[in-house]
Amino acid sequence: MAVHKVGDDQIHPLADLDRTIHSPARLMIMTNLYVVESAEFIALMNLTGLSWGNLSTHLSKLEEAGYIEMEKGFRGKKPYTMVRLTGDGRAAFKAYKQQMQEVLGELPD
Amino acid sequence: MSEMIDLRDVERRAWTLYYQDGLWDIFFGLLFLGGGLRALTDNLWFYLLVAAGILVFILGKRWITLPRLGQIQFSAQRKARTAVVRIVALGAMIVTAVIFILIVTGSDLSGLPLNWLFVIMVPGVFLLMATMMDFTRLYGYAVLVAVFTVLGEFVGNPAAAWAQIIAGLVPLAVGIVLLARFLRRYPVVDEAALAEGGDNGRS
Repeated sequence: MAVHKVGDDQIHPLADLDRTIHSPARLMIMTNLYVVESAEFIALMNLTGLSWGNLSTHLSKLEEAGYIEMEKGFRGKKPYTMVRLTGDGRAAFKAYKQQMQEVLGELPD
Repeated sequence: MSEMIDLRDVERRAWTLYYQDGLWDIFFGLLFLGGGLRALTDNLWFYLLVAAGILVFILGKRWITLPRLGQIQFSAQRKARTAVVRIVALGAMIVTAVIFILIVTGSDLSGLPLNWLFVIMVPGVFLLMATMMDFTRLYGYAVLVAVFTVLGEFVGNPAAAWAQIIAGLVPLAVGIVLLARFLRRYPVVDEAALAEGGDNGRS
């Protein structure tokens, strides 16, 4: 059986993908934050379908990477958290989008 | 990737999430119902139902929707689209108010095609809202508005009044069903309780 060896030039675009964004949950979060100015934690739970624990974990990772910033506030006595993409996060998502377009656009049907 | 994830669709989904509470439908339902009842009875019904509609909408958004869906700040583009709708709706209200004042003060407007103005303007505002606000149900309500406006301008009461009452009952019923579904689907989320007790903070 013939084995097709994939050339380095074909591997590199995939290998360079931003792994912080490239997880389904974080990609959902980044996508939703990219299209709005900011969203409350609860709104992100509803938009992504992630549980509180899951969302919290992924947001921490994105915050560590400098892609998002979180701002705590109070509505009456109830606390809430607003989440927004930073400039770096927006740029990283744009770059990721571009890379994915290049990689997937070159795949044969 | 644009084929895999349509970013406009993602944004639209976030935006239309807030229409799932049925509060706009209830507001329009009460507004149309009040208008129809006014034509058959007196102004009191209109004032009561419009006041009820405004109260239900404002309090509902504050105490029902926000604790369940949280808040989203949308893009400048989305805010601009909403601003256009507000300006056009306000313009239509001002035109209506000016015509009302001119009629009450005895001005002769018989030469003006006021019937056609209202037949085009009122459903037109609903169509614009539906398009600019991505609010699909408003297309249906625009048709209902067109029907009772045409009847009101060219046939008169009681046919127009009954058409308006029916046109009010439709969105009111839709709104109540949507609100009930919304309450079941989206429980109140307390961030503090979630932080303390994991995913058990939904009530």
